[in-house]
Amino acid sequence: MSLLESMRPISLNPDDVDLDDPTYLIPHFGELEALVKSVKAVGLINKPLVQQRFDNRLVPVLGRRRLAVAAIVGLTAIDARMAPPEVSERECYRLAFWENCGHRKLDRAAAAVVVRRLTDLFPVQTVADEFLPVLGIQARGPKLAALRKVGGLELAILKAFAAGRIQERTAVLFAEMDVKDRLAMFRLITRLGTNANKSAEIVGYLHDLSILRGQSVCELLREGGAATVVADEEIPLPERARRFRDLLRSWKFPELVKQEREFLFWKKELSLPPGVEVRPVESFEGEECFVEIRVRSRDEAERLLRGLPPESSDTP
Amino acid sequence: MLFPIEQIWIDDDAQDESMVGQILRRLPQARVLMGRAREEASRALLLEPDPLTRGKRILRLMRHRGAFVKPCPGTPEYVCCGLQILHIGQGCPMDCRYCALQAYFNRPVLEVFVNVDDLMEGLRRHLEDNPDRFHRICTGELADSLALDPLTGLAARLVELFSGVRNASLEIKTKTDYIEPLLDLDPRGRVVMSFSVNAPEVSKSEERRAAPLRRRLDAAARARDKGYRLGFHFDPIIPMPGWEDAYARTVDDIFETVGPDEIAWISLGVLRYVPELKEAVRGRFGPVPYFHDAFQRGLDGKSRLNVQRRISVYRHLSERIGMSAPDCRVYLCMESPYVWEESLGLRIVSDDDLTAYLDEAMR
Repeated sequence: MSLLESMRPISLNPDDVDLDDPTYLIPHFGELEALVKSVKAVGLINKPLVQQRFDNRLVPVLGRRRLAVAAIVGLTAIDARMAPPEVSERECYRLAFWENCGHRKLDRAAAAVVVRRLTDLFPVQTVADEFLPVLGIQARGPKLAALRKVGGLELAILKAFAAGRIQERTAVLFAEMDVKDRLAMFRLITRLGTNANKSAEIVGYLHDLSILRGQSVCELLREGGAATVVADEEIPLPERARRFRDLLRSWKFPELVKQEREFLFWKKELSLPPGVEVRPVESFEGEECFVEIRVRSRDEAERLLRGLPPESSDTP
Repeated sequence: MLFPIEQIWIDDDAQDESMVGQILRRLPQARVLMGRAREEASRALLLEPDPLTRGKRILRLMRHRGAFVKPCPGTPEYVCCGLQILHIGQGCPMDCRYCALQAYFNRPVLEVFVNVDDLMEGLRRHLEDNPDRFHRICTGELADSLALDPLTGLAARLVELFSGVRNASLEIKTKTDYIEPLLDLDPRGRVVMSFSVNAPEVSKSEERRAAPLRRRLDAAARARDKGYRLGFHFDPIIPMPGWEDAYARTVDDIFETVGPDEIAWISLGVLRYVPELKEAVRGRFGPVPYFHDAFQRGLDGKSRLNVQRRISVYRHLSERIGMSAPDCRVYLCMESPYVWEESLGLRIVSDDDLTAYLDEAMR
């Protein structure tokens, strides 16, 4: 008997299903509103599939979101299908995988959760041959190892990753941190409301500093006025975020920040006329500077250039 | 054989090369994989969480199809020494935590180019086709020059070849002390036996499976006794706390072991890396503190420490070297004219300047 034939129709109360059970989880971090409207309008079009576990709990195999919505809209009896407990986790997960991934592209956060579960259930070669091509993930061990760790992050962080509020490299760093540090950092960037790029900068700086100094992130945040900057309600949030990033940057790159300050001071002393800008060479990798002069016309540019001294061998 | 090799993968088109038989005889305990079995093993290796660790026990015998001699891939933003690389293979059985090769995930095994006749022919042709220039050639760029030499015996053949040419020198660069087979040969002043060196603490903790520093220096002395010129490469210099004294100790150890006139050159290079390396190292070893120092984006896109910090490191080391060897040819690897001038007081503004400076040591 095939897996699909072994399932029997049942009627169940969605509240009786353990929707937090992760056994067959293929996450979908999107909102439920549209599905709520759909269920209210026409009911459940496709029957969810559940499995009775050996401890008698009912867990969702297919239709976790449908079951959640059914509970939200107050349905107490819905038509569903039941997989017998002896059907293996591998078989049920494979079914869940194909039902979801056969028709929608998973975001990277969901893909990380799925990779984690797949590598728990199947030999890595099977994962590589059967599942990764569908997910669009390269079959490379170190990449899979990193994704596996990301897949174990807290739901709030995964949701932020799925929504593009944090970058993948930030998620990877989070996954390598101590849970206390990770949550402290996540709360911090959430509070500051920084975009994904700026959050990546903040998390990267704090992570580097924490390793270099041998201190936890929480310890770092307690010192040097960091907490004060974040907590100062008098200052508008974007400005607070900027000051906080600047503070971290000065900790991370003390020499560079000193060079920038000295350069700015020197430039100020020059009292440059309007339309003239002086920039240092990238990363202050030398004494050279770029002088930029804005002119009104090509004629004026030509006159200015003709007045320059002839090129010497020293010209960079 | 110091480094354990568990498997030998042989490419289909490499099976008939004579070096294959030689290596198989020297590694009778290794499992040999060819054809489909090799392909499957290769795919499985790439799926391991850390393919490099396992790959360091796998030897792939293959033919090299491109040019065997290529210029070192410098960048226009920094001054390059004009070294030419003789490609004998890729990968290293040692496992230095800072090693740049870790950023190349797609080739985690030790590759040996077994079409040695092609290599020797390509090398001869390269030297003959460019008779008017001097060629400084090195085998230790993408591989250690001697780590697999007990299997290949290639270094001795190269020493013999270079001892007979006038417009080239060979640099053998290693972290091993496998020099015995080369001691019966006469390099006729054409071969530099060079050793990567570091602060004792760095060498001990970071250069896994490399010969201890003392053994490298003893090997240098033995090579010197047989007529080899010597080179020392402080690369990467890692300015961890206490670096000044630590690196000074290594400088002093060098000059307690060999004399300044026996040294062709000493290079200095502060740690710099492609950004991917930091992730690769973290994935393999967990957080390695010095990779999290104040590295900023350099002109070539690599992560580099602040220029003033690099200058102070170079100045300190060159002064220390100068105390024992005031005329020693010290050079910087991939640095700007500004750094050259500020740290060594030398006006080296182009690749040609540096090339001439180093060629001079071997002409």
